[in-house]
Amino acid sequence: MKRLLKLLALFISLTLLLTGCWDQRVFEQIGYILSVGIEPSENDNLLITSVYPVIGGAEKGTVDIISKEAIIVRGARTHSRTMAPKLIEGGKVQQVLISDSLAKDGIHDLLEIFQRDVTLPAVAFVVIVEGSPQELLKKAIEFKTKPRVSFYLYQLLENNVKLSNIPNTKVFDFDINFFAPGLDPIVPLIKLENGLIKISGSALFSEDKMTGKLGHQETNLLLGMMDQFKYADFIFSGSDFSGKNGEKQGVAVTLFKSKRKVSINFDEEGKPIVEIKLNYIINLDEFEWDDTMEPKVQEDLEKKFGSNLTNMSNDVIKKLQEANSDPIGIGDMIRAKYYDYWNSIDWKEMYQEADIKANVEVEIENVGIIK
Amino acid sequence: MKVVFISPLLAYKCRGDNMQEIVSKKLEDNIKYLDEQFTDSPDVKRQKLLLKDGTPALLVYVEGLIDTSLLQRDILPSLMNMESSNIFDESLQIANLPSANTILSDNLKVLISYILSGWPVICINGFDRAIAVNLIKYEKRGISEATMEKNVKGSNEAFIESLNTNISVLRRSIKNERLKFKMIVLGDITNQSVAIGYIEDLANPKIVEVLSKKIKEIKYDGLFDVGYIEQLIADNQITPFPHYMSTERPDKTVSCLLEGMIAILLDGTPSALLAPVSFFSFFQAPDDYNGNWMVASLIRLLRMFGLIIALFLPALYIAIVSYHYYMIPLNLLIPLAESRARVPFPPIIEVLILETTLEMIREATIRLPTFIATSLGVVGGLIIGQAAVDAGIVSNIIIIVVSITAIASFLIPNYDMALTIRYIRFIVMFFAAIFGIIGVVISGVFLLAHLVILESMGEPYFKPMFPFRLNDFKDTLLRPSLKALRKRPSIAHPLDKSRGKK
Amino acid sequence: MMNNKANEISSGQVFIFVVSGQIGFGILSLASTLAEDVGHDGWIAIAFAGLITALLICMIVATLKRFDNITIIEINNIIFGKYIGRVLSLFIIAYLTYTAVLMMRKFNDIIKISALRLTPSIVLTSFLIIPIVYLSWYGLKYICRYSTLKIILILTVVLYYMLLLKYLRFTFLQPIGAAGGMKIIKVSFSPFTSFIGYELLTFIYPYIKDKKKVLKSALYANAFTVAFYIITVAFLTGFFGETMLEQLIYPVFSLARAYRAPVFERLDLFFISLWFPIMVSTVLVYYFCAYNSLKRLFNIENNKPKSKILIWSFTIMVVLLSRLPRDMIQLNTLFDQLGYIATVYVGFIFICYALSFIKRRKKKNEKAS
Repeated sequence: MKRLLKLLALFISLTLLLTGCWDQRVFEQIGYILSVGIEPSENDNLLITSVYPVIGGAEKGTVDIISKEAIIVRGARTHSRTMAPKLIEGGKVQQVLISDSLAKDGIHDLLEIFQRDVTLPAVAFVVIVEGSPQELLKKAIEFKTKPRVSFYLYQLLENNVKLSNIPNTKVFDFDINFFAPGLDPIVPLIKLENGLIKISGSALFSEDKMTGKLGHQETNLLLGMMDQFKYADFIFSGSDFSGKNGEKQGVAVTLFKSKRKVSINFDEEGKPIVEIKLNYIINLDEFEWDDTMEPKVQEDLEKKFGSNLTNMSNDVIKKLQEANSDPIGIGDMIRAKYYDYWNSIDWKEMYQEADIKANVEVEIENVGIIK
Repeated sequence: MKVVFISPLLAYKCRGDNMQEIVSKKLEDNIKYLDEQFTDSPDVKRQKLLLKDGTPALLVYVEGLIDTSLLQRDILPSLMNMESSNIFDESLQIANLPSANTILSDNLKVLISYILSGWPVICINGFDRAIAVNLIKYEKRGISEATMEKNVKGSNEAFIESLNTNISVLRRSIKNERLKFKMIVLGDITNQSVAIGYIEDLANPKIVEVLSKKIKEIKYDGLFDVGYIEQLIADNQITPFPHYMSTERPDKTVSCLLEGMIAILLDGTPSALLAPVSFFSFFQAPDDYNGNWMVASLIRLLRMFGLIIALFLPALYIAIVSYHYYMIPLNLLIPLAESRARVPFPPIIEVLILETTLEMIREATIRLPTFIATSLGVVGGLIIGQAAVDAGIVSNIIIIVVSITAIASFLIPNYDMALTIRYIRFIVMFFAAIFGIIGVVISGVFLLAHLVILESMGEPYFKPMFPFRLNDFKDTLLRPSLKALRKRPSIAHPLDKSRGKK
Repeated sequence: MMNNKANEISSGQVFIFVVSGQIGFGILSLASTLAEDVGHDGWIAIAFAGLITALLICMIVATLKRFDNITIIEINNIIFGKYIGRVLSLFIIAYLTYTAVLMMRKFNDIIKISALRLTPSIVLTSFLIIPIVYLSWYGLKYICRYSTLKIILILTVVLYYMLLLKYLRFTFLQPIGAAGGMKIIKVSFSPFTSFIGYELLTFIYPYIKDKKKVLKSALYANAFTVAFYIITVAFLTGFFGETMLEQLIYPVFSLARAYRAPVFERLDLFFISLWFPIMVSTVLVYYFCAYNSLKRLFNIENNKPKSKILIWSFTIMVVLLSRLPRDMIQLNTLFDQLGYIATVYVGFIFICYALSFIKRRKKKNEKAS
């Protein structure tokens, strides 16, 4: 009896070893999609472009690109699997590129698959492309001097996130900001310009619909107001900054981490009056010879920088209000502090009327090693 | 007359019930008896001689176990110049021979065991007593350098095969009368002595008692290493882990004795068995305590890291490559895929091919003479690996994985433990091949469950960790400064908990 | 191996035991359940619920103290007589088995969802149960030793939260008490499956060496659990916001997916591996209590061959029964009901407590007359 049991156990474990591995997906037999592009197709469906690197092909450093019309995002993978020599999987997707024309109609449900399917990464970048993602990807695979397109995009996005030129928006951030009342997502914006991929700033969303865009300098300031700012290169231009000799028409600085303070008040009619106070620390990078160590000159510069940044920030706020997009989360702050008031209004309407002002002060900390 | 074991080193127990083999007053009877016992024993010399007064006597000894020149020079002349009445005192208790160590016995069985361990025995006609004289001298290895457990600093002595020498080495290190040795004879046929060494007032007497009881109960024909004892007294038979630690280093033995542990020495084996021990003591080397504590802590951490790598790295490779491709860092994706693309085997087979080759090389180098072993290592490591990659049998990465694993497993200071870890690694690999990373976790959990169940002499094997004891735990993953180690570890329940007076 | 020493535990191990029973499965979805009920104030409700649980623990320990050194199985026999008592004990064991079965199924489902989609459940469950059976066979002491790991892992999980600290929005937790005080208190009275586990004290009481400290350890354990729950729920609410939290089934795992680690990018599998031993020990304590109570009921505690047959058949039964719930919805409904059943069971203990007074009075009267 005992021997029989032992034999049975041996038999079962052997069968397991031989027939097991149900979930096995051997790595080299997989084609991993690294970038996905989604745009509307001619027939009002989705045109989905997926890029995956070719492994073991004749030529080194190539990628495959498959475009297919589908009614749903998963449709692209299902279709690709019928065409590609490898098992197409999406677990390593780095960027989800969405065309701006599609984003205008709302993209929230497009991204749902990244949250529902655990094999897909919820930490992929969401990127809005001005124009067609398919075109961008197709152009990008022809770049001979650059790494494979997904790596190229990955590095481009990472570096610009560090420089606060674009928001650090992953699928997760998008969803959280979309769901939260009184908060709206913003998404990096890129485009194809002169045959190169260029970061152009950020796309503003109202709920899940794209309603406006900002340039990358404006994004710097917006991120400052959102308190998600570390540092950025910034160039002031205009006659204010022409200096003594007038050789240059601007000043190049590095903005460092800002301090933010938001105060909320209400006027008699119940409209919110919001003041965002910001404090930047500035590192002077390029200006002109002489005098930058003079206290008076510095004070003067600080004032100029401050008023310039205040104006620009107010312009950004105006754009936000026009787009009815609230990435700063002023609505969220009002909800947290004035809950009864929040319940009595429709924030989306009130936001556009609200009186929101930025007030920026700067402090020059460092001027480099010349006076 | 009762047999009095004068020397602990000769605590031979007398087997069989036939204790009545009394020395006869007639020499002829004794000769007859001994002849019967020692048939076909060319090494047992029986020399008849006459005393000064013409009394016949018999000298029996084993050639090669005694110092013949001393016998020739001192014992024989004085014996032959004596009259039979002078040899014994009146009460027949003291023998009048020029020797530092003599005993008298009337039991032939006892005398035979003395003869066999190198004591010449002299029977004299007309007396029912025989004299055994200690003249033990046999060929043995000198104390040599430790080969298995190397050390940078500190003593480099190793135990040798002779029990006497080993005990004297310990005695030399601990000049204290409280160092005690309990003697037990083991081996139904081989009659080997075992010494259970401990420090009185420090080692827990309960553990000493339990251990000696367990050892006394061993019934086995012969024991050729302390490993035999270990296996025969283990609490839990179904385990790959060593329950007790065998070491060839006297300094390690001494330090363990000072912690209240017990050392078991077996005649004929150059190593000591230490008990009770915890899992973590297998990852400590004497060198840890010889130098700076910060550096030693770092080395300890490195060793623990090595343990984890040695157990799980190949399994993790299998799991990730065959199940969880999305765990691979982005920049590694393409190089890894390119190196794997040519390999026809699934990862588990790939790893098995290489791991088995490596294990074969290891096993082969142990048995081979040193100079061949070195070249075999080179052949195995470099040429086969490179050729396998070129032939497309395995990928580049797996060579790195397997060699890192091999190096990591060399970090484990104890040979038995290193073997166990190698064994477990294969099990984890199989689980990883079936369930991916979940398989690695299942086997890890099972391993832990097994470790907490194990006990060494009734003490939890995984002690300072689970169950958690802060005082002992300090000295496992890290090595605090000696000033912070004022207390002895509690694993052996020492009677005196503090080290040294304040 | 089957001696009673293998079951003997110290009061410190009671702490580990109670924590093992409590933290495991409930917390995985607790935050989203609470978000549906009280929005972002879930953590306050937990604090209240923790206080209630602490009270229940006090009462349970008081009951157990009256019947020195026996488990509920013997208490039933004393109070209700041999036959009714045995039937009641069988019901109680059925409750334990039911809980263990549901947990096993949930364990299996979580692993399936997160890592092994295609592996047949029956194979997976049989493998997952190996360490559980192994430790249960050897005894309570070893279970508690193993579960020490759980405390370390829970602290590691809290460390993992710290990685995401900078994404936390405290405004998501404000205004505090927006759901209304009455509502929060009402919700905190609803029996949470997440808190059950303390009632297992009634099965291990005789094995505790130092009975004076039992109450203290159990309360500390409850405090530890509550603290971890408050941190988790507050963190999840602050991270996701209540609206998104409502949408998630296992918000703790979703949180694990949200961190983009340097080099490795995704740490979700790492998190599953971290949570795996935690889940093992939760099933383990229920499994052990059911198995051990069966042994006590049949009086075969020291009978090794019979115990062997029992554990084999019990294991096969658990594995097969765990296949019974039809789908995830049914499983979740059944799982949420566990809290109610546990409450009924706790109520039963109090009935025993009350009856014990009557019984004693009767005995006194008999003696007096």
